[in-house]
Amino acid sequence: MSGDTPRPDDDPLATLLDDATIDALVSGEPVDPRLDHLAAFADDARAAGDGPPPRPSPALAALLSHGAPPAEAAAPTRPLGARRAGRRRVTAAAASVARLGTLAKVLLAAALGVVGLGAAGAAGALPEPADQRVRQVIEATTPVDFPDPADDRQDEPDEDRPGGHGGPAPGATPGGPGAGGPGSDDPDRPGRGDGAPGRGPDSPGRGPASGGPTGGGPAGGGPGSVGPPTSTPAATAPGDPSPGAPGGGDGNAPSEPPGQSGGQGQGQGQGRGNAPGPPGASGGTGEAPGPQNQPSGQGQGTGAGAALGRAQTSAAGAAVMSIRSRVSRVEAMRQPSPVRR
Amino acid sequence: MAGGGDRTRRDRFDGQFPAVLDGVRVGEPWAFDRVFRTLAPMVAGYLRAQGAAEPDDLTSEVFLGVLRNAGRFEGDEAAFRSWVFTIAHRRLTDERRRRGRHPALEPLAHAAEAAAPDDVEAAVGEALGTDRVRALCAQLSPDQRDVVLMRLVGRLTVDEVATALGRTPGAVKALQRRAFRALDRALEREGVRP
Repeated sequence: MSGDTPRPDDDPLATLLDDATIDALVSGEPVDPRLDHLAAFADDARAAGDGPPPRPSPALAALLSHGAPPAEAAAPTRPLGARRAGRRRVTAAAASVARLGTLAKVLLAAALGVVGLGAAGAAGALPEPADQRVRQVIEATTPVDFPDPADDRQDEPDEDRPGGHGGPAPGATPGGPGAGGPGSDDPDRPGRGDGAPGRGPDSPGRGPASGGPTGGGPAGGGPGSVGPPTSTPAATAPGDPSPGAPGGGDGNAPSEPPGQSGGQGQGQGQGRGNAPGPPGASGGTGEAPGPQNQPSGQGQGTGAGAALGRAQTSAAGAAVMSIRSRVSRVEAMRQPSPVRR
Repeated sequence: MAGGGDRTRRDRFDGQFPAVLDGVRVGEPWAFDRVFRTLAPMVAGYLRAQGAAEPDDLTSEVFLGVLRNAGRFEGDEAAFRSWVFTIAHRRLTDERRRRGRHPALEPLAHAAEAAAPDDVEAAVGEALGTDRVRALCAQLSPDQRDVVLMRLVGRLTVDEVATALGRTPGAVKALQRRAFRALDRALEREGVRP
């Protein structure tokens, strides 16, 4: 277009058209007489916007006459700039993630997954088996103890109870890693309590609670089986080959097949092999709530490392407990009130 | 200075814009009418000078959109004018896209039909003026035409035009400078230039 190629050298008047002169033309103020032709054009252009308003269409006329219902007169919302800013933030975050290295992305994804899974598990939003797993992991890695759902299901058949499967039922917690039969001095034995030190940070008795099932084996049918919910530190005295242990702290799974019960309990509780030892091997020990197991100290962790671990996990545990308590309150509120009925 | 010379014309609502906007937000008919009567002439003139096929109908479409969405608007009068002309410009673009043609000069007789019939002489004079403006602006690039007509017909400042068109003030200034130089040359070719 011709307007894109001004030639001030060829036309001295072009130098007159600076910003101030243009503003004067636009506003109708006097300008250099050499620009009168442009001033006349500007007058005509301004006049084009000075006429009466055009006749409104029927729809607009109705709107002008009756106004708009309150529903149409929407409340002020975020201006366009704010919405764009929000989109920019999302875009910037995505770009930041895109700039990360592969390892960082993997770690980020893993962290998000762990956090999401933990939150869902703590909120009880996962299916029952998965929920129990997550709870068990949380209990194993934080000082948090979840309430025992088995307490709310006293009337349910044994096979539906967590302990009945030798799983990580919270109720089996007291059973602790009790793995490792009394005579099982071999540290490689799944049931060996010596794995406990590795979980030192875990508070005693809380750990691998799955130990409950372990002791829940046939041997668990012994006298000590009444001690389920005690959750005493002795529970994690795996290495304690106390002969008095045969009672296996868990009374939840009396009917559990020995091998199955012991195997799962050990594997989950200690994170060691799942090999279900022979009934006698795994079942015997357990962590008898007897006093002789209390001082075992192994469940207390391994000194400074344990203390540090507890400190690191305490904050996360508190947050999870907070979520859990809120969920519990909501669930309680959902219960139909007898008064209302 | 961006349009500083005509600052006295910036207040088109006589200082009552906040009250008018509050009325528009709650759907008050008087506020709707005030907005329409204040800004519709400039919008219609802009659309007409841009060569819109149905400038009056398009103006109604613009204000239907403005009044139905003004409840969500936040800003001052200048921002409101920019917003109104943003909608007007988009409606114009949509109309051109629908019709599949660029703005073209229309016969003078047809242009006169758009004028108010109450004062024939004034209407014809206005139509002639509008037609002349449109004929000259047709020699500008689309960007230059948008800027010049928003500044002259819409009475928008450089900053308001920049907001309405999504450009920087510097770009608007450059466009208007080139546009006036192009108009100067066009008038020189017509022998109008002194």
